[in-house]
Amino acid sequence: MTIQDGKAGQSYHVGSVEGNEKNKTYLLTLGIFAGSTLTIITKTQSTYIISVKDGRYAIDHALAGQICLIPSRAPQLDSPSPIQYHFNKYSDAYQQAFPQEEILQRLKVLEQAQSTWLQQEVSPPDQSLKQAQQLRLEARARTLDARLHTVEARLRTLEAKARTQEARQKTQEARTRLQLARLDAQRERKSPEELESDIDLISYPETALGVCL
Amino acid sequence: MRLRLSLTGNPNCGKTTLYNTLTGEDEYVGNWTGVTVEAAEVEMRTLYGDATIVDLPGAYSIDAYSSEESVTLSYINPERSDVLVNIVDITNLSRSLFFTTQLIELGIPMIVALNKADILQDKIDSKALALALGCPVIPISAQRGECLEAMVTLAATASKPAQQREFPNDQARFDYIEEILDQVYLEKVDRTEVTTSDQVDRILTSKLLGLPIFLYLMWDIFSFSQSVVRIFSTLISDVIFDTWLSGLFHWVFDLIGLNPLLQALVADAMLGGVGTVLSFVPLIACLFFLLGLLEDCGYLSRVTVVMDIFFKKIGLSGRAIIPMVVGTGCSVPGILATRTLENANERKRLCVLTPFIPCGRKMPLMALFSSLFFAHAQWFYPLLYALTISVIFVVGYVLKKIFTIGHEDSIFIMELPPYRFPRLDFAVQQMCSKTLSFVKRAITIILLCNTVIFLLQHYDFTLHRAQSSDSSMLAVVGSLLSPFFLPLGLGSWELVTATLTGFVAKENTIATLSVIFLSGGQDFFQASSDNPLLSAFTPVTALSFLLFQLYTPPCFSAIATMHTEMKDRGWLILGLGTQCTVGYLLSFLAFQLGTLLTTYRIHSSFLLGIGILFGMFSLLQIANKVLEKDVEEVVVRS
Repeated sequence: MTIQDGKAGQSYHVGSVEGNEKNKTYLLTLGIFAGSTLTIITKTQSTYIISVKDGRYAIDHALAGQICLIPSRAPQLDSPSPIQYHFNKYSDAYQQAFPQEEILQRLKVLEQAQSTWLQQEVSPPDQSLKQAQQLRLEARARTLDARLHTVEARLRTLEAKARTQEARQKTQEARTRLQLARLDAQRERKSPEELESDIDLISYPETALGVCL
Repeated sequence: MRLRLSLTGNPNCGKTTLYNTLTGEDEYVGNWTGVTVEAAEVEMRTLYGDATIVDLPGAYSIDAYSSEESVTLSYINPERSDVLVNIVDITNLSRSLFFTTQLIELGIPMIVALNKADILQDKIDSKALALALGCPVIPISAQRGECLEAMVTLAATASKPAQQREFPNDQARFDYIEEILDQVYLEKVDRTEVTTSDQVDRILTSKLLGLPIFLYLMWDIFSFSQSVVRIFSTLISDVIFDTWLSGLFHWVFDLIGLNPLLQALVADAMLGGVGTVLSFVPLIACLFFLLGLLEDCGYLSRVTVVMDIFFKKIGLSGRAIIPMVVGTGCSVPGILATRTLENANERKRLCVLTPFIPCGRKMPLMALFSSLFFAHAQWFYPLLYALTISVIFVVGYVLKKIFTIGHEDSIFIMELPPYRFPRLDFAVQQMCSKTLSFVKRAITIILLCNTVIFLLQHYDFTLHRAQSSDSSMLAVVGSLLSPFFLPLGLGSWELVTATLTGFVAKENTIATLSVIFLSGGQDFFQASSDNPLLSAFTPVTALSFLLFQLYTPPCFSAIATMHTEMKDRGWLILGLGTQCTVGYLLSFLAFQLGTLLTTYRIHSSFLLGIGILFGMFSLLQIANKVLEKDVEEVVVRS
C-alpha cells in the first residue's frame, strides 16, 4: 500500500520510496526513507498532508503513490479479518435466501406423503394416475435434492475461498512482521557505541554562557 | 584577518531574522520555505574583533536539491567560512540535526544556535545536546533578540572543529539523532496530533474552497490599496508638490532670477515628473503592508498546495505561485525566487511567466488609467487580473508544449510552517523598505530620465531650442518609430516616447507623460476636461497602452535578472520575444476590436499590425529552432 491507500490520522512505517535517486535523497533528508515513521494528517483528492520528524508537509497525489507504507502496528489475528467478515455476511444472506433446513423439512414431508400414497389401495383405473403422481413426487424430490446439493457445494466453495483469503492474509502479516523484524535487526546492527565514552567534555567559554544564562 | 561567520540551517528556521536582528540589515524574510535565495553579508564588530556575518539560503542537507541550496553549499567550506553558526529550529530538532551532523563532518569550527528557544526551552536539555554533538550549543530567540551577543561571542571564540563521527549511511544518521533526542527531550512533545492549524489547513487547502479564498484575499488587498490611492494621491500631488514645493521653488527662482528654461526643467520635469510618481507612494505602502501581513502568517505555503493542481496542467509545480506573489512587489525578486524550483526547464519557463504579474511599479499606471478612463466600470480590475491569469496559463501551456527537452515531472513537497499571528512591526518594516526603494528609484533613475526627456523635447538636432515640441529631437525619434505603434493606436510621438521609457521602469511612463503633457498647475488626477490625458487618449487607446505596458518585459533590471537566472542567451531572447509578442498582440487586439466596436469600421492600420505580428511570430519561430538545435547538440554531446 502507498500513502494514497493510507488512512488519515494513522501512523505507518515507510516500506520503500520509489522514484529517481535525486528525489529519494531529498526525501531522505526530510526523514522519509525505508523504516522511518510517517503520519497521515489530512487526505483530500489531490493533496496529502503528512507529519514526518516533527514537520508538516503537503505532498501531491503522484508523490503519495511513490511512498509505500507498512502499517505501524501489526494487525491483530483474533479479530475477524475483512474477508472472514464478508464471508460470514454473505453466507448468512445465502442461507436466508435458500434455507437448508426448510429444504430438508420439505423433503421429509414429501417422503412421508409418498409412503402414505404407496400404502393406499387404489382401483385399477386409478393405477396410472397413481403412477404419474408417484413420478411427479419423485421428480420433485430429486429437484429438492439437487438444490440441496447446490447449496452445499456453494457453501463449500465460499468456505474454501475464505480459507484461501485467510491464508493469504496470514502470509501478508507474516511478511510484514518479517520486514519489521528485519528493520529492527538492521537498527541493532548499526547501533553506535556508548555516547559518553566517545565524547570528550566540551570546553565552554564561561563568559558567553554567563551572558546567556 | 576578519572572521567569517556563516549562518546555516534548514529553510524557515529563522536565519534571516537572526541576521537582520544581529546586523540591523533589512533582508527579505517570510514564513515559508525558500525566502532567501542568495547569500548576503555584512561586517560587524564583536568583542573579539571585526567579523563578517554571512546569511545563506536554507538547505536540508549538503546534497544540493535546488539551485538556491547550491549557493549555500558553495559557502560552507574552510575557504569561505571560518565558523559555521548552525541555526536549529527547536520545534523541529529531529529533522534539523540531520544537517547539523553533516556540517560537523566538514571539519569547520561550528556552534549550534537553538532558535525559537522562547517556545520550548523548558522541554529541551541543551547541555545534553552539546555533549552528544560535541560542539557548543546555545539557546537563542532571533525574533526577540535574546542571547544573540552571547551567541556571537561563542562563535567568535570557537576554534576547534566538533568531534566527528562516522555513519555508514544516512539512515544510521537518523537513528543516531533519535538516540540523542531521547536524552535531550526533557518532555516529549507529540506532533502527530491533529491541531487547530491542521483543521484550518483542511479548509484553506481544500479543492473547493482553497482557490476562492486565495482569490478573495488577493482581491481585497489590491482593491483596498487602490482605494487608498484615490484619497492620498491627490493630496500629495496637489498640496505637497503643486502648492508647497512649487511655490517654494518659484520664490527661489524669482529671487535668483533663473533662466525660464531652467525654471521649467526644475519645476516641470524634475519636480512635476517625480511628484506624479511619488503621489503613488501611499498605494505602494498600503499594498506592501497588507502583503507583509499575509506573508508573515504562513498562508503562502498553503497557496502553493492550492495552486499545485492548476500549475501541473502547464508543467509547473505549485511552488511556482511563490515567485508570482513575490513578483506582485517587484519582478526582480520574483524572478530570483524561481530558484526554489528544482528542474532547470521549469525554472526557465517560470522566469518568462513571472513578469506577466502586474508588479508594484505597474500599479500606479493601472490606478491612474482605471480612475481616469474606467472609473465607473467595476469589472475593469477583475477583468485585468482574469486576463493576466489567462495569459500566464496560455503562454505557460505553449511553452510546455514547445520545450519538452529536459522536462520531467517534478515531485511536489512543501513544508507547512505553523500559522502565527502576523506581526505589525514586520509588516511596517516590509512596507518601509519597499516604499523606500520606490522613492529611491523615483529620485534617481526617473529624475535623470525626465531630465533627458525634457531636454530632448526642447532641443532639435542642431542643438538649438526647438520652435515647438513637434520639431524637437524627441518628436523626430518618436515619429520614426511610430509606424510600429500605429496598429496599437499609439502612433503619436508623445505616446511612442512614453511607451519606450516604460522599458527603463514602468512608473517612468507616468513621469514621461507628465513631462510631455503637463504644464504648471495641472495634474493627472483631475477628472475635468483640462486633464491633458483625456485629450491624448481615448478609452480604447488607453486600454491598448495599458495592456502593452502590462505584458511587455518589465524593465531593464528585470531583464538583467532574467539573463542571470536563465544562464542562456537563447532562452533569454526567446523569453523576451514571447513577452513582447504577447504584449503587442493583446494591445493590438484591444485597439482594433475597440475601434471596430466603437466606430463600426476596421482601422486603417489593421493590415500593418497583422504584418508586424506575423514578423514577430516568424522571428520567434526562428529563435525557437536555433534554441532547439543548441539544446539537442548539448544533449548529444552529453
